[in-house]
Amino acid sequence: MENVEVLLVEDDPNDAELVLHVLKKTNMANEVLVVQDGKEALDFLFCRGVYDGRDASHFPRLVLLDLKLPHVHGHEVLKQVKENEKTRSIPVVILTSSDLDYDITNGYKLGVNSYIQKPMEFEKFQETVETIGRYWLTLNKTSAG
Amino acid sequence: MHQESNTTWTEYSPSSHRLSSVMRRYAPIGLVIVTGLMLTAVIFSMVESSEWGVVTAGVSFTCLFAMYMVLLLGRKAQVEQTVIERTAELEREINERKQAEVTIQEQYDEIQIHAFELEAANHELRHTQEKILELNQSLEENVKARTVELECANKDLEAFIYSVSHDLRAPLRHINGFSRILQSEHSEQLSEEASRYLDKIAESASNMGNLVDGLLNLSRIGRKPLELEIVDLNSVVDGVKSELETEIGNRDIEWKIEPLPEIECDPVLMKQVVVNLLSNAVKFTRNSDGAVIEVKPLSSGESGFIVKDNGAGFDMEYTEKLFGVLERLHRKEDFEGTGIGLATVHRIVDNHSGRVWAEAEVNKGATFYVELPHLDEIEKEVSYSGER
Repeated sequence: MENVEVLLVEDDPNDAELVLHVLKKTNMANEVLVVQDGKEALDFLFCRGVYDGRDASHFPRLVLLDLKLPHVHGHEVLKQVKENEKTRSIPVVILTSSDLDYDITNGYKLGVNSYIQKPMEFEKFQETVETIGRYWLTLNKTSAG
Repeated sequence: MHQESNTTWTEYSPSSHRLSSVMRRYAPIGLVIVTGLMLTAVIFSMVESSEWGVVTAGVSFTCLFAMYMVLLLGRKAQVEQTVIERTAELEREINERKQAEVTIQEQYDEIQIHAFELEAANHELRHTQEKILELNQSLEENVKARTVELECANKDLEAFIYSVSHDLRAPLRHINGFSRILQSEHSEQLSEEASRYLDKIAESASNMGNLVDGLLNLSRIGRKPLELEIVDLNSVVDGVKSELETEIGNRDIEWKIEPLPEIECDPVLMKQVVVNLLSNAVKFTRNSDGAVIEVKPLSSGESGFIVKDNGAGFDMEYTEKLFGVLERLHRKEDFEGTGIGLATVHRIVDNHSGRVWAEAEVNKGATFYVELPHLDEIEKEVSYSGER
């Protein structure tokens, strides 16, 4: 729990499994935490609820965020993460099926670091997830803590 | 009128009138002669104091008297004549006046009728006006109600598109994804047949995904307002051509790209037009030896471009189906495709108030023409609406 590298916020278990499959296969992230709704994601990031008491100084190096989530919508999760000084610097990449203009512009307005639409074709999907992982987990530098 | 009355006067003049006028003319001369004779007789009788003189004076008086009488009679006849004529004239005038009065009365009656009709028409008009006002009011209410309904329907549609783009693509992605994983990572456990079936599953899922994406895109084009910019067509064509590299692979295609005009259009949408037309040209020249794809401007003076290939072409008999949604003029076995590409092209060009059409011959190639409103015309329209 303390060395979670990627927080995958995804309510669709099949999508989660495909992302995990690619990340594992490419040795990109060994510690991936999958949460299935927005509320749980916020609980994890702000050490609340079931995550009460986890090391609050540790943050994942990347949050992969779906938009259409139960309880708390992806945009709301993003808003709270980017509004809070402690969590603001965590890279958040929206990975969603939607390419609606509203979703994209609102995402950037709320401070998302990148917006990616899930490709239909698995080859492209694989390539996309691999590229995201390589960029944010190996190339990108995040501020400590 | 005056002339006419004079003519009437002469025509109806009785003979007595002529008599009296003769009398009037000659009576004064007679009077002078008789008076002279009489004076001579008086002077003569006074000088000679003869009887003959007295007789002469008597005769002269008698003549003088007779002459006066004749004159008086003539004058009387003239007055009578004048009275007759004036009476006739008056009668005629009275008749005319009566006639005029009748006419005026008739006209008055007619005016009365018209006035009545006018009043009726006026009443009708007022009634119609009231009705129109009422209808207008109800129309406004209807429009308001319909607008609210349409806004709701639009929101429903948005929600539907959102859920389609999100929910329908997801299972297709999973089918495609897991079958690809099976193929690539568990192939040793699969028979050749199983592997072929998996291939079909993955391909079908991906086709359906493309179809869903295409339909979503098509529906979005109709709802999104155009964002017009002046676009250099050559750079769009070059960009699209390099994007098509994976489709072209190691095929040998001869590209003939001429200098193209600048056009005012929505760059994102116009790129879709070029992508569809060029990828079609690439696709349908797949089986041709020495594939040639030409992109050139429309004939001089026209704003637009032409994409010409020497590929499979199509039968012109089905040309009206060419731009229809989900219409295909080739078997899927020969050329893959969703049947949305040209429908998308048509809708985009239509949204730009332009025109797209095609000419083709089976196995000889196809030529697609895209005509857009002239840049000057657009500028004129813009400045015109700007002035207003």
